[in-house]
Amino acid sequence: MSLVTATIRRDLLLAARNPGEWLNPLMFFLMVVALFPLAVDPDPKFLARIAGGVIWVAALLATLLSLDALYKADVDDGTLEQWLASGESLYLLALGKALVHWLCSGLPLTIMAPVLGLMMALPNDAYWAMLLSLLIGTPILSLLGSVGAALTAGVRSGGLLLSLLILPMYVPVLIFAASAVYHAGLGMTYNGQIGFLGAMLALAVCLTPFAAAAALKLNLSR
Amino acid sequence: MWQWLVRLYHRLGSPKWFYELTSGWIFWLALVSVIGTVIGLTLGLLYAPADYLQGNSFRIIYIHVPAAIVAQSGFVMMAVAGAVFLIWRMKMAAWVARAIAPIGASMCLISLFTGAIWGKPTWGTWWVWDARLTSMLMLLFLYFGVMALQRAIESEEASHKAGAILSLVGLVNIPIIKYSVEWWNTLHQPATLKLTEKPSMAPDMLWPLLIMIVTTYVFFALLVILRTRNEILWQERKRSWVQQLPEMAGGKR
Amino acid sequence: MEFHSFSEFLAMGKHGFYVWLSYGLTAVVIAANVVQPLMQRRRLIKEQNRRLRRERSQGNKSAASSLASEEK
Repeated sequence: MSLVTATIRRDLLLAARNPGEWLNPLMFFLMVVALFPLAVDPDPKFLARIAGGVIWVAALLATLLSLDALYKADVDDGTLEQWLASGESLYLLALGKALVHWLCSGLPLTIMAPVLGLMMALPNDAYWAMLLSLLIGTPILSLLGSVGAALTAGVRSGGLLLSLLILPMYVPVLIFAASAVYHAGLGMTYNGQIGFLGAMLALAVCLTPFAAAAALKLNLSR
Repeated sequence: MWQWLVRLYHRLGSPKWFYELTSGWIFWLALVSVIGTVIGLTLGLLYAPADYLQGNSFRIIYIHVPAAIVAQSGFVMMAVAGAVFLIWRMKMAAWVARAIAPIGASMCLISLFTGAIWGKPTWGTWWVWDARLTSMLMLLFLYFGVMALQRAIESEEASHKAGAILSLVGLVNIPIIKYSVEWWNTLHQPATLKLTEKPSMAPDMLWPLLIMIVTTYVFFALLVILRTRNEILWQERKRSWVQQLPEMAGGKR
Repeated sequence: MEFHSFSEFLAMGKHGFYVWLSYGLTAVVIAANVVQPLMQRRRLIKEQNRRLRRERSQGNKSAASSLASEEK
């Protein structure tokens, strides 16, 4: 356990000293969302219709952008070997790494999202749905993404490959989350969608760290 | 029974045994594929009555549905083979898994473009975000992901393991993706007319379809065996049994 | 038999283009899937034979030289 907490503390400290790592995806999030009114139509009625979907797609891309670095440094500098040699539970370690990733990407995205909601003319009723869906949905993105990051940690230019592997798996999250925001905007209930997101989060917490741990081990046999 | 299974398992793990066993199968599998296709397509294209709503365009079903079914179960087989490799370190399983990926992706591709072409006379556009087509598209992406990952990792062992882990994660995800896409589709309902969902199919229409499904499975097995044998020839090229094969220059004739 | 003449069969009602386009494209993909492993097999066997022949000629040479050294 001590190794896991130590790793979490170290990674948070690293992120605090090197803010570009988590600020750049946030900037990217902002810019991608800003492109849509420019490219499609700045009419508020139209923007309100697509706001939830656009914000969610942008959040998904921003998450992917920061995933690439999740395990890369640990594989390159030999930290990974130390972990494996220490005999600590890799499951907890993978869970901890995903948690750090979420703290540095999903959480800031969620906090920043209301600003983007204003820019995208998001209906007033939809703000809570957006915050709730991001709060539950982005940890799933981090957890699933950590499997992809562990698989591609030793591959050159693994970032693009990582996106190819992980994007199809993000589809259910995107569908339910964007639909929750959209339906909330129409004044309808969105409990069902949030419920599905919660179920997926529970499943992801249980299963993805196993896959990530197995994927981490194979980085040694290269 | 258990003893027999254990023996079969150990034999399956031996590339030499697999290679020699399947040498005699290829001809018969090919024969069954050809005969099944001829019978199935003759019945389907010539003798099955035209659909009362879709007319003759429904005859695309005889390639669309078998390809879709085999593409889906191909992913399951690839993931199971990957799991066998991960758990018992059976090299043969990894080679089979690698052989399945491009074939499954081809089947996926076939079902996608036949679905799109079928959509043109049925819905009036080449592509409709229909639940089945969309989840087949996601399946194709998953196949592409596995293939890209296997290709990107240089170390043989690691690339097999990575492919196996990814296909297992994909296998868990497929039902979730399918369900979410279907749920999403009921919200938007772009197509009231489903391509393949029939309350009851006339037997004249159904039989050719069943024949084509079985045939496609046989054909799939044939392709997997062909690719696996190539992999064996390459992996075991330094072994004396490969060098003594009749088709090799050093072999006994 | 659903069709009375070959041209009727080709026309498929008014859907001939769609039916034959999908069957044609499928045939192309299937053919590629059959040809690719067969070609690969031929290439593998050719490479293997080249390697074997090379090794054998080297083996003969070394055997010959060892014989020669014995004669001395």
